[in-house]
Amino acid sequence: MSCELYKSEMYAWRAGSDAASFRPLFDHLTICPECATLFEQVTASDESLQRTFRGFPESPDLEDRIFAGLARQRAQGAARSTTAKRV
Amino acid sequence: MQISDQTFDGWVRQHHRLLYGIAYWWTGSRPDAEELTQEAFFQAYRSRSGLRDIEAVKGWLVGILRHCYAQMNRKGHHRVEISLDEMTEEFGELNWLNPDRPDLDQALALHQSLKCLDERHRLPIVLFYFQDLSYREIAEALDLPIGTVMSRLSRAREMLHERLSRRQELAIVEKAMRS
Repeated sequence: MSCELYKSEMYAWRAGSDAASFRPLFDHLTICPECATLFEQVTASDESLQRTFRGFPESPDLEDRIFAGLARQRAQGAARSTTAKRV
Repeated sequence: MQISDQTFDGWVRQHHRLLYGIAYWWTGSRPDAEELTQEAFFQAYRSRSGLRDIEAVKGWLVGILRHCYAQMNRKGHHRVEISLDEMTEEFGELNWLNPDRPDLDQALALHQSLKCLDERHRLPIVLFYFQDLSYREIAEALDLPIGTVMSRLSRAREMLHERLSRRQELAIVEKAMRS
């Protein structure tokens, strides 16, 4: 397999992935310094990206708004079933 | 399946932040993300009897979120693209709320890079980096075979890394030219 194909394997790998299916990649990394360097860069960049993805602006009253909307849906549902029973 | 209101409320408490975060990076806009998250929970509540496996609730909710996002795009209801100033302002608030904040420049670079990805790459990549979902859950949420998800993710990660490193290189060149 060429380095180019191992490169796409690198991007398919994720921490916790099934080790056996990525064994050819890790075997290659031990003998190819260029790919090993790239893999290190990808892993470091991934960690930094995860931190960035997890830092998004808060929405402090979102939970309350969801519950208020659900309460409206439930009230409408209760009203509909009362009407249906009367009919 | 019978789902009590109490159980459903528990899911809201447990998962609303995850759904909102995913929606935020999908849309790049806080108001859109809030609207999508609310709509996803309202639709989920109405269709809760359709949930087949209670263990798969997270993937099921993300799947509904994706459905709502597709509806929003079809109707053209999403906000006009937010400006860099608005984005900076939002992250300014984040800085105040979260002391472990990411670097502002990096967050803005990520926004820009995600915008350049097409949807079939942007949707799975956001789910991937949240790390709360397995490949199987991502596949279920996007209604795609797991093999397709893995190949799209591999391509999307490669594109994102390339875009971000190109931006970093450009920033270094610009800085060198200014000094």
